[in-house]
Formats: sequence, C-alpha cells, structure tokens
Amino acid sequence: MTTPKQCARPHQLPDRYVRTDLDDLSNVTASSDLDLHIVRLLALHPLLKVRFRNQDLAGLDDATKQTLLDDMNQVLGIKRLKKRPAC
Amino acid sequence: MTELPFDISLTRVADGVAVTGRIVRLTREMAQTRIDGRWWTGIGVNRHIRNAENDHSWTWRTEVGALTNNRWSECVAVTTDDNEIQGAMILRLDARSFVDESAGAVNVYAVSTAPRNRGWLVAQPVFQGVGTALIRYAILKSYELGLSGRVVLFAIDEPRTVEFYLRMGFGQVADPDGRFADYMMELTPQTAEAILREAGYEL
Repeated sequence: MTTPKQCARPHQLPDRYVRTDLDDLSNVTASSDLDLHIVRLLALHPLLKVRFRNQDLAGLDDATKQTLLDDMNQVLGIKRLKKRPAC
Repeated sequence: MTELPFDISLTRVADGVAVTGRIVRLTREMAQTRIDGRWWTGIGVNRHIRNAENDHSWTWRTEVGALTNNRWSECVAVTTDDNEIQGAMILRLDARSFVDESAGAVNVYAVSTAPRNRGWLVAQPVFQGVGTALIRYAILKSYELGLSGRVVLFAIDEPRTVEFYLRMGFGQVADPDGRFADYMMELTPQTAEAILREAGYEL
C-alpha cells in the first residue's frame, strides 16, 4: 500500500504504530484540561496506575489535583518546564 | 502542564518585527469557517498551483469533527490578533516510536501553515515561524506526557517538507516494509530536549 502524493487526507498512522495497551478514554468526563492531562498520564504509564489508583478526580479541588500531578511528574521524572526570562 | 491558549512568537515578514501569536484549541467550527472556507481564497494563487499543494484537498472540518470525543487526540491552531488562523495541527497521543516500538510517542497526524504564509506560494508571506511553533508544541506535549519528547510523523514526499523536518532535527527512519511513499520521521528525546532548551526552556 502506498500513499499517493496528492492525498485527500493526511497520512493515517498504521496500526502497527498505534498503542493498543491504552484505555479507551472516549467516555471519560474531564472537567478541565488538568483532569484530562492526569487521566492521560494514568493511562499512558502503568507504573502510575499502581501508585495512584483509586483517585477520584471529581472529589479533588484544583490545588490537590496539581499536587497529584506534581507527584506523578516526580515518579516519571518529568520536570516542570519553565521558560527562561527573555534577556 | 502547558495550558491553552499558549503564547508564541512569530515574525511578521513585511517588517521583520516579532509579534505574539497564540496556540489555541481548534474546534470543528473554526476549522470550517477559518481554514476550509478561508485559507485558499483571495491569495492570488491559481488552481493548478493550489492543487499541487498536498493539503489543498484536506478537509480540516471533517478531520477535527471525527476526533471531537477522542481523548487521544488534540487539535490546535495558531491564531493572531487579526483573528486569522495561521496554522493548524492534529496530534495523536497514542502513537508508538518508529525506532523503538516499546516506547510511546506523539504523532503529528496533520500540520499545515496557512497558504498566505508559504513563501513559495505568495510573493510576500505574512508570518514566519508558524510550523516551527506548532512542532515545538508537539514536543512540549510529548515531554509533558512522559514520552520524552518523542515525536513521529509521515512527511509527504516533497523536498521542501522533508527539508523542514530535517532542519528541525527529525531523523528519517527506514520504512521496515517498504510500503510507504511518504517519509517516516522521528525526533529523538535528545534532539527534543535540545530544541526545548533552544526555545528557552529550563530542563
């Protein structure tokens, strides 16, 4: 199968390169971008599921969710990105 | 976590001045009215030349609409103060690395800069830096999702496009089955980190 140069759609990602180990999040209700980010992290990283299972985001305020995200980032080694001040 | 809208810097080509643009969430309605119904009109490019552009036949409204409830995708656009959309991108967040299939990656499923910003189409583009800003956003997204900045994409078989990605630091990946006419390209974590540092991020 080849993709013609003039295609009506962008190039679809072949199945081989789509992860099948992830939850279907179509029915997930995320009330904010922060909620969605946390849900995606939980689904992408099985390690987090073990550490942070049973988290009911609906029962948490934003500050607690941010703390939860910080903890998750620490487990995964994700540093909070900060922009250097412009000179 | 990078929240939208997200400020970026673009260069206004007419006077070389840096202006602020924004990366915003792209909705189906925006795609319909401000991309599909707008991008290709009034730019003084004849049909033959328009048709030679790979994305001329894309329908952004359909692509974005199909992903409305898909939590593993993200549709974004670059907007400017004149209310125009200067570029758009659709990401898939559930991709595998082409190089290491055990690793996750962000896939740039579709990305375009508005025809008015393409130097090969118009005598004087309006803005420069739209495509770079969008790809940087894809890298940010990958990094923040714990995917180490890995970004994968299929670049159309067109020298200008492939050159753009190579310049950004993408590497060409050998197609394992020899099936695709387009180029498989991937940004490694090391290159992604270098790009973020160059963009002013402290890592």
